[in-house]
Amino acid sequence: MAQKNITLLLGGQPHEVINFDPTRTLLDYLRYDSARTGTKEGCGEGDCGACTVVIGTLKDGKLRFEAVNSCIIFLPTLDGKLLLTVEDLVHPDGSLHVIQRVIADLQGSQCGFCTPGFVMAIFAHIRSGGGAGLASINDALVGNLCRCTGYGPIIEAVRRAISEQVDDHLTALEETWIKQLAAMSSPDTLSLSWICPDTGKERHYSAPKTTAALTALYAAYPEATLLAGGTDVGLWVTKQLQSLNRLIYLGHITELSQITQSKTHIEIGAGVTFADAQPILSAHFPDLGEVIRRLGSSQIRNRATIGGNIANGSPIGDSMPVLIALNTELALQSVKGLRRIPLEDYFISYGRQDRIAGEFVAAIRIPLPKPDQYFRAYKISKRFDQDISAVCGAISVTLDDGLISSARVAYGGVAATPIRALNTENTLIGAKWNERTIQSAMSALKNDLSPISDMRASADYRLKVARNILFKAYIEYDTPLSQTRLIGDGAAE
Amino acid sequence: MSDLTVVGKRVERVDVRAKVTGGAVYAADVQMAGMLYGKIVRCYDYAHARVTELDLSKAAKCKGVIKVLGPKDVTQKEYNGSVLDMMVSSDMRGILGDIDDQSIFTTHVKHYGDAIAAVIATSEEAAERAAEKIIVTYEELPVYLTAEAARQSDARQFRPEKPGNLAFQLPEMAFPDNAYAWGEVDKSFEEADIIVEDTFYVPKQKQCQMEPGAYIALYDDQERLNCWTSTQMPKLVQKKLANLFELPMTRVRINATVIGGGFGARLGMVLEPETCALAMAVPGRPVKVLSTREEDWVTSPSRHPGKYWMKMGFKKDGTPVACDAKFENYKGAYYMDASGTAFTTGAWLGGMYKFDSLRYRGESYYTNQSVCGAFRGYGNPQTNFVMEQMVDRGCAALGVDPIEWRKKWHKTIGDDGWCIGVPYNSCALDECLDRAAKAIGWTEKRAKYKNQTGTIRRGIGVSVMNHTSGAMPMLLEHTVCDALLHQDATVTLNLACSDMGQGSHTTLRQVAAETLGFPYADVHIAAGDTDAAGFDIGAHASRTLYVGGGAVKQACEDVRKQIFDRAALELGEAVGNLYMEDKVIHVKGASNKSISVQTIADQGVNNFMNPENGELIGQPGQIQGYASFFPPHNAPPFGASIAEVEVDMETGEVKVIELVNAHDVGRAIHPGIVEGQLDGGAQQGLGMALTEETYYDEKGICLNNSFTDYKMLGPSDMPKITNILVENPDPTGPFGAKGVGEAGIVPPVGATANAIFNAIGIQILEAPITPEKILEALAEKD
Repeated sequence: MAQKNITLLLGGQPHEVINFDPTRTLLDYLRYDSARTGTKEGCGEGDCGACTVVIGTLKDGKLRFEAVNSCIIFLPTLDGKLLLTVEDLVHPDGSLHVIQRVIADLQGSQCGFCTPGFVMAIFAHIRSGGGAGLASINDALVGNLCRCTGYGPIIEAVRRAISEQVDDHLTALEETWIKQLAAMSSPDTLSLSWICPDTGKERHYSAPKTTAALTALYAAYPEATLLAGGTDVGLWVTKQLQSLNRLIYLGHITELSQITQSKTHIEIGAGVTFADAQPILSAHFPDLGEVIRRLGSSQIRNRATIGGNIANGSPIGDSMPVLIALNTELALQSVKGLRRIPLEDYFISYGRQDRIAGEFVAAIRIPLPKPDQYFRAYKISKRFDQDISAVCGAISVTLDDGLISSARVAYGGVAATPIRALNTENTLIGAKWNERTIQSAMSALKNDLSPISDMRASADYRLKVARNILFKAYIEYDTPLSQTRLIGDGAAE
Repeated sequence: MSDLTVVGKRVERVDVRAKVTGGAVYAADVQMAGMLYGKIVRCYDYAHARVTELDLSKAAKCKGVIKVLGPKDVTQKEYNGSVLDMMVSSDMRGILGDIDDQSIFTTHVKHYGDAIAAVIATSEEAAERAAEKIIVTYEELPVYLTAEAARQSDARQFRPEKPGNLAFQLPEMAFPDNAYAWGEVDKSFEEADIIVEDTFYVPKQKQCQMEPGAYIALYDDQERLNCWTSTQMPKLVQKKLANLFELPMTRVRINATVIGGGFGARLGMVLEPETCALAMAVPGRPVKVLSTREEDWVTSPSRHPGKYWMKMGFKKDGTPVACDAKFENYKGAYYMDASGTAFTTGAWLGGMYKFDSLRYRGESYYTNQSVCGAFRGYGNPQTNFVMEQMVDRGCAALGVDPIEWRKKWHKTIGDDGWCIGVPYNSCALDECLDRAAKAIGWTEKRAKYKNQTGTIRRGIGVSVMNHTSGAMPMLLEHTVCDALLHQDATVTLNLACSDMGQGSHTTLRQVAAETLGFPYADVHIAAGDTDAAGFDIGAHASRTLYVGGGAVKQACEDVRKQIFDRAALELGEAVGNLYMEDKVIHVKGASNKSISVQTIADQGVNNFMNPENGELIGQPGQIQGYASFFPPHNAPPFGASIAEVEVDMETGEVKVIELVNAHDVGRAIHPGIVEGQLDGGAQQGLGMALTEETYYDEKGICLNNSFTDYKMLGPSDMPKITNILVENPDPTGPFGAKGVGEAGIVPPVGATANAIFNAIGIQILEAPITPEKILEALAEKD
């Protein structure tokens, strides 16, 4: 008999939700079932942030707060979590929370529709120790669109809120929340089922806690939809109105969320979010960190997983070309065991990947950087943040006394899958690292890429930029002090 | 005016507490007992097609469905969602050529997303499920996306009244030679030493107000049609709905809900007709219709895109001798604002510089794109992109500094404004330019950015604009305001002016408090109920503070006059001998003679006879101020922006690093709100210049009607912004205020384009200036 309920902390109290559609979004649950209409729907696909709420998770005995887009999160993934919405921030006596007050004081709200989402994104930023520097605030807020204020007053409000350091009424509740959440946790697989009253169809949701349980479950139901961060799967429901009748949620499997580092490589579990992977990857590969920083928004990076980004097989996933250039290896798991393949081999053709029934992405392994390795990555899009790239490219070369002893060049957005530019690599390998070599590599590139024209960019532009970023990589090596970028390291202050 | 106590202060906005706590109730948040949900079935397969068969039967049988409505089940009357026809005299209506060409549900699809039918059900999900069961068969028709395509001789005609698919051109009877013009343009060009000329493209930018459309309607037990909507124009929508459903205005009530941004998208009717038609099919039940973002994108109007040709002639000494221009806009599927924008786009051009002669032609062509209508600036951003690039090209050819040239040749006090025959009565543009130039370091940077090399190049560019406060004399300008003095000497203002987030209810309240001489806290603005409020055009054309504020001021002056008249009677003094301090009226030079406003107000309501002498105690009758206000002018706002950009020569990417906006605002009633308008306007103006455009494929299918694929600027895309408020009180505005709602979007457009020109030495003729266009232009130059 499957369990039909979940428990979350809402309004500071354990709250049981019974017999519900497992693909019901958290936003609908808040607006329609909980009368919390402060959280807004602006786009229904995680792009505008008006629906931002904060999820509190118990991790190593501590509470961790993350801003998420409630419009694309399925309600059952909230099992065992703390949920905070804009309504929770007002003090019990009705006075404004410091974040709400500074937004009001500094003209950070005009039409107000985006405001609750901003309030919650800022809350998560401050509660997770976010800084008052402009870059840090921007990173926290790029997932929230505002059409009225030009953002300046909101950014100023974040600074003010941080500097005022006023304890709110919620801080005192954290100890109680931790106890409540600990009491709610269970080692067993959560299994929900629900029958749609209108169609009579049954819908299932399982959340195993171990890889072993997942392996067995997926072998039994290879047609099931694997759900990790849901930043893509959520849209299948909210935008494509698909009926997902069997979901297996990976978010409760501790083994999949491990990051380990050996002497030779970093291994990252498939369930690790981009937010969690970013620090270690940035430390070893600053440009990879920069690409991740610009991938989606903080709300998206808090949910989206590396495994999900790979498994979904999109030709425009930004992490793929960068990871391929870094010679990343992919681990796939099924009842038949663990299989390791080079990441680029996973992508067979558009929409087709090397994954057999019942097999799931388990982890990736990235070799640690070597002293003579030179690595650069670039994401080119119309908007700097939360935009799908026209081109994302990366180059990694090993330089041996001025000679290129090995080279890996990879791109996204220029073919049906993320690809390695093998002709280009061959031009580089064995040649001298100089402008002439780069020029011939740039010429070779046209044999590697087969870009298409769409509204994001023309094929011609994609090819041109793919070439030019090779040149940029060379310039950044050759004249490291010149300004070569508009944002991130290398940009002007 | 140094003794102002409320005006000029950064008071707390009236609506902000509700907004930061999530308590503000937007239309989508309204829930009622017995509520039903409407889902509109739209055509997403074609942009132009005829419905040959419509089968509603399967949908009607779905669980939870109450009714399914097709084109024949609703009023057959056609309408025009725009409100321009209500702002002009009946004579002018003929000249504008406005026609009613929209239907609630259509059998002739003219754009992606046109409405075919609707389902009413007990839940949103049930309505959505049933909507999918509606079977529509189409006959595909040829698609015309541009003016060039639509005016081909063999093109199908959108409307028999509009041959050649020319929805509108400046009419001969009011504009000889179909041109808004002065002087002899052709002759003037002969005198020119330097002529610059080019054809530009301006994009279909979307307002992207954060709140998607949401509507509720209820045909109630008194047979009244109630509609909850976040419209910018409650009174005009009330009248439009009354006309459409053939009801007297007393039987139509608009409940204006909190507006989650407008920018023109909610100017007239959007989905009010559909929602009301559904409600009238189920009397007694409220029906809610929620637009998805994608749906809102293609059903609410956008900015007018199109080709914009311009030619300018200068003498060697810089004298601007002639300007000739033509804007051919891609109107979209329905008439809407075909006349308005086609005219004003040229009006802003005519209002800017002292050309010896000028000729502007504006034409609107039907296309199979979604409708165009009002969008912040109403043609001005389009003109700014083109005019200001042409001026900078002229300055480059003349070898003169673009700021110096602009200072010398912009129109000013006494020159004809944007409307020929209505001269400017105030102008502080020189001060705007001087202060902006100083703030950003114009001279030094302009010199420094010559002859750059390397990957990243910098550039700095300027742009100026003129705009308006209200649409007088082109359109009706009128606001009615009641000011009721309660017995405790506080005042409630009753009017229909809407606050779409721009802060108008706050500034109107400041104007009221200042006029009355009362504390800000003693005034309340009641707005949004069309049963109670008198006429108002609605929020558009940067008019609410200027015209609404004028009405508020007049109504409050009326209250104040009545208070003083009664005080004079009670104190036995002439009004001229009285003054008010802290709501007590004193006699000048007689400290012991006074009466409080509280006493006067209370006696007006609670009036009794003195039983001893049979005389009334105090003056009876509740004091109520009233104004039915028509403004005398349009208090022209001016503004300048200077933008500094970085361009990546290898990728074509652009980053705006600094923006200075200096605006002649007359008087800042609330400086924080004024700055907010300029900040927000900048986000939209920079977006129009750099990233924003709605795209269609060759079949007319919209490709980016979502925030995933249409990129407006986010926080990290915004430059450092400095706003300079130049306060030079306008002689006609309330406390000297000019409108500032639209001004902010305009000059950042041209300034960004000119900064890119300065950085790379090339002008990009099509907005938005994407990385691709820059790289392409650089390749051509090589």
